[in-house]
Amino acid sequence: MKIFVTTKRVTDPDVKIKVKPDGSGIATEGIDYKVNPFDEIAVEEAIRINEKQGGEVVVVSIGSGASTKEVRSGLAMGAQRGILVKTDDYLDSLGTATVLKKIVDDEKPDLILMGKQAVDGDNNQVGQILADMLGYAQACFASKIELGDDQKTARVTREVDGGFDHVEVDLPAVITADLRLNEPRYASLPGIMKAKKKPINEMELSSLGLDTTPKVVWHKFSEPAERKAGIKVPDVPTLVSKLKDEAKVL
Amino acid sequence: MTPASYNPYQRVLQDFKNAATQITSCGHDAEEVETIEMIAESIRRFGERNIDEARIDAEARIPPDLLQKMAEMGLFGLTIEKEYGGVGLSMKGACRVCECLAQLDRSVSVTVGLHAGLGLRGLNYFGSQELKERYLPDLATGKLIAAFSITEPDAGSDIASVRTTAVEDGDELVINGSKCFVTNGSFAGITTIVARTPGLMGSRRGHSLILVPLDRPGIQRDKEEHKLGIKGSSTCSIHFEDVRVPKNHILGRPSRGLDHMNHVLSWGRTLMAGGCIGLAASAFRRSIEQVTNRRQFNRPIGEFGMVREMLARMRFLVYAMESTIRLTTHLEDEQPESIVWESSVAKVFNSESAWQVADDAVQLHGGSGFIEETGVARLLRDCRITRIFEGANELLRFHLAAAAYTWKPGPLLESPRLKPHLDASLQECGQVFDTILPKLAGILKTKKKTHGLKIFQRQMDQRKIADVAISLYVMLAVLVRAQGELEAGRLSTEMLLWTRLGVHDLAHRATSNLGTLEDNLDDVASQIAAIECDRAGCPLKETVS
Ligand SMILES: Cc1cc2nc3c(=O)[nH]c(=O)nc-3n(C[C@H](O)[C@H](O)[C@H](O)COP(=O)(O)OP(=O)(O)OC[C@H]3O[C@@H](n4cnc5c(N)ncnc54)[C@H](O)[C@@H]3O)c2cc1C
Repeated sequence: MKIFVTTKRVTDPDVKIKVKPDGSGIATEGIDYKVNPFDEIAVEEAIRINEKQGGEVVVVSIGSGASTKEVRSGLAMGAQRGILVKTDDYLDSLGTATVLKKIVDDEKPDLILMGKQAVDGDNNQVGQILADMLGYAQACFASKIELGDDQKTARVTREVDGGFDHVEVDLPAVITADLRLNEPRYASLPGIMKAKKKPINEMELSSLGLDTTPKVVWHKFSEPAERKAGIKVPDVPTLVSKLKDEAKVL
Repeated sequence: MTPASYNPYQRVLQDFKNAATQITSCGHDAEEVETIEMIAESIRRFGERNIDEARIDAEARIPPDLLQKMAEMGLFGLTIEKEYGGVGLSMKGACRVCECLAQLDRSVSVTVGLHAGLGLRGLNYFGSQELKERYLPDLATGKLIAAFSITEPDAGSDIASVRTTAVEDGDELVINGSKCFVTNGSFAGITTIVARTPGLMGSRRGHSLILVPLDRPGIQRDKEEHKLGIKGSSTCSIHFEDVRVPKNHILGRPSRGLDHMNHVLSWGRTLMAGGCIGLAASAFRRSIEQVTNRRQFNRPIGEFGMVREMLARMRFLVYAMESTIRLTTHLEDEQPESIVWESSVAKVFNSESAWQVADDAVQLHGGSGFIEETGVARLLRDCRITRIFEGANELLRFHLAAAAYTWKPGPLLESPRLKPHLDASLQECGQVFDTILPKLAGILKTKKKTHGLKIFQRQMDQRKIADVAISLYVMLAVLVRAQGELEAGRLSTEMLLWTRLGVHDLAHRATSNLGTLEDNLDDVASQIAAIECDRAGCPLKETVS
């Protein structure tokens, strides 16, 4: 089984980010980058399926040349090869899906695993758009994936409010990973060394002849308003009256 | 090995551009940097899931399943060449990894660091092809863990006085003796030892480095020592009684063991000094959390000036420690076997800075800092050994100063200046270095003139001279780093602040030591010690001051 799994290079979610003074974006000075955590879960799942079923796991990423590092970290976990579409341009969800569709058309994987969203833009759209463009079934926010014996279907469990939702999809399909799907492994040192020898096919976005002009444009970034310090109230009646009269929430 | 004129500052200044580039990264080249960043991230996660430092400390052992996982993770292959199944990191890269491990737990970092440094350097560097092929693959996977045994009950700092002997018998060596305080001793599968080998292979006298598999008959290990810190690491005595190993297990040249050991030790102590950065970084991180959360007098304690002073010192010390290691490992990676002096500086400075930072961390935590559950007390306990093992700092200072006396005064006075290498924004700091270095040269000259060969017995002078030399080397490292970061477009505002405060502080230390070299009460101090020892029934033969 050939599995595609996408990884995106995102700003380290544990680092507090700052907005550039002119509001044009995020200040990148001294910022660390990481693999999008949901993508790592997708990579882990792909490798687990691969360990049982055999075949190939291909890590696909779109981003600046520096994104080889994130592709490489998927290879260090156990994927077999990588594809990196290089661009320094900003892509919106539609643009990203357009690029991925092109790669899928060329490579024809049996299953596409993705993170449910990237933790930088938090759009949660690419998987859905891609499935639609490809005309594939989609199962988003997977917390469990079981492949059918014939490897032609997948049964996906999704956590929904108050319970579980089970969907069965025909393959090829797009499945996006939720937090509880698995706990990604850390790469071992020998894994990291092996990953250096695994092939990464790098291509320029501009050479693919796609229209990826963003339909969604960011106009301005600003920091959230600073929270005022809280106050202590002496008793419950004061609290109630403040909630009623000042906060106007009661 | 060390030419008489050699002085470490000149060496760096002559190759300034290269050093300034190298010092800005944690690996030898771009590819290694990427590998190291991946390893660092993996180790962080490995730690989150598997390492419980409080438990390791309380149980005084690394749980066997953790040791197993460390092996599976590949941690024991850090310094083993790829062809033998390791990662083959440069010394710089290996230091960075030790730092990451020490952030998580010092028993773990010492276990790995000892194996990767002292444990393997002899075999890696001096071992024959045959020995490497035989042992390195298992050492890379952690199937075998390495130890290093020099210390004996009666031979600590004075390594040359070891009594363990290895005597030729046909194609074999027969080893007899006892080693103590062997790190990794209880589970190591192999150790490098230093033994007396007079007459071996035609040599007249001397010592040799010998690789001894610990599964041989005649080897007995004692129980674990009970320690102040790094409690989870293994430390025990190992006795050798008619232990036989093939003669080809001698590492390097027979009878050159002490020279070889100097090289091996320079590796070991550098890795250990790398670990000190992780310890200090961890202490600093906890302190920041503490001073921003803890409120007294209706404000976070970080607002108080004395607290800020400590925080600032901690911050620049961590930065200076890192810069020192990067400069030193860069020199070793360029030119192996050349950093006996620099590695001693790095060891002394980093162990003492880490101690200062850990001590400040305890202080900033107030009473809860003294309580074990908080965790900073453990950092302090774990830190204490770093000033003792792999060469007690006093012994290292002795050697540092002794070397300084052999530097030619000419090059030291005229050595190329630092200031011209620096950007205008850093020149004021560079001037500080350029002003103090000739003063050191001056004092070395006067002392030699006044005391002749007695300089080597005047340890109180030597202590101060070593401290001036250390301050200057660290200052140089910090400034080379600042210039390198600036050229790479990465000199942040914070870094510039750390550099300025760092240089100021180091200059203050150097100047103060230069002052007491001329005006002191060393003879009084010497007398006081002599009187007390005399009273205790041990008159000191000579008052070595
Ligand atoms: C936890 C731990 C792990 C260790 N691991 C190892 C290991 O793996 N392998 C190994 O071989 N050894 C190991 N050691 C031993 C360690 O390296 C020695 O303890 C250290 O070198 C000091 O030797 P010593 O204990 O005999 O102290 P001594 O030599 O007795 O020194 C005591 C003090 O005297 C002073 N002193 C001694 N000589 C001089 C001098 N010339 N000038 C000025 N002052 C001097 C110093 O202040 C010194 O600290 C370990 C020790 C410990 C505690």
